[in-house]
Amino acid sequence: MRDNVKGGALTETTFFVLLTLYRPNHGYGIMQFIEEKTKGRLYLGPGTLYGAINNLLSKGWIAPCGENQGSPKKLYIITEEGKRAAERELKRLTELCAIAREIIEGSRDDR
Amino acid sequence: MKVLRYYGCFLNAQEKWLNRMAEKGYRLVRTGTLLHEFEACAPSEYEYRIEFIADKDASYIGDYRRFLEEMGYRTFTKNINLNFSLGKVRLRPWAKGSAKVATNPGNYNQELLIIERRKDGKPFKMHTGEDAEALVRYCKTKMNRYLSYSLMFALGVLFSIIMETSVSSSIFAGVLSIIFFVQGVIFAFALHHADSK
Repeated sequence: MRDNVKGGALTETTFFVLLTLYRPNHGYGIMQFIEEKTKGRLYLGPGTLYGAINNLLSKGWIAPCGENQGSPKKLYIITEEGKRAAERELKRLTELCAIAREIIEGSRDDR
Repeated sequence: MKVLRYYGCFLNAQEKWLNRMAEKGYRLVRTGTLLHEFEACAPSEYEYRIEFIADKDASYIGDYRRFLEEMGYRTFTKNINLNFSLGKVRLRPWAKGSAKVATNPGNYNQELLIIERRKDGKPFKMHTGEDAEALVRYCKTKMNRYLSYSLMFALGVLFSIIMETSVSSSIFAGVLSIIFFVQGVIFAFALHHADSK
């Protein structure tokens, strides 16, 4: 997962994993959640997902959270820093969308 | 059922073979240096993928395997070299971080990871998006090494012809040169396959 450091943009995978983890979830749960939300458009290979989780853990944007009652599956949750990163990304994307709309819809009127 | 097979760095061929075995109703239960042990299962119940993980250190491999097993996959490690030694230490300049040093016991002889899952009709891809290029780096290093050895011994042959030294030594150098050349070509093929994957 190479995220653009200068522009601050997150990859779609990274952003989606962050969003999924606003509630505690485990690896398989994250994969299913993303597939469901994008109606199958975005499918994450388990290798890619592992890389994304590790990357987010090392950034401190997500953290492991307590054991799932009785289940041995590792759960993760977003941290305060992770939430700030997600909010920054939302702001960036909103701005981008506004500019895109302006230009694309503006060009339609010209035709 | 036990089958002895060796595919070396030809991951695609090994993957295809495992998937053909699964189609016939054989499921992998154990791997050894050459050994593949299977048990009977329903035909086409499982499918396999193979990943090159020699650029990762032992703790990463362990953690990655736990992660995959937790998600319902079964994993096996497999060697890419034929090597039976213990206490081995090897440098891997093409790997990253602490994986630059490979040890046995440790990550040496665990160059490949075989991943099994129950077939569910969905595509089985370990990596979506940019793929790991470690296998390409590995094949390139090996190819360059063997081809330069081959060249060195070929120069040795030339040298002994010019200097009119003993015939036996130039034959010896010539044979070594050819052996290294063949190995270099094998890795060139593997590199070609890894690049197109």
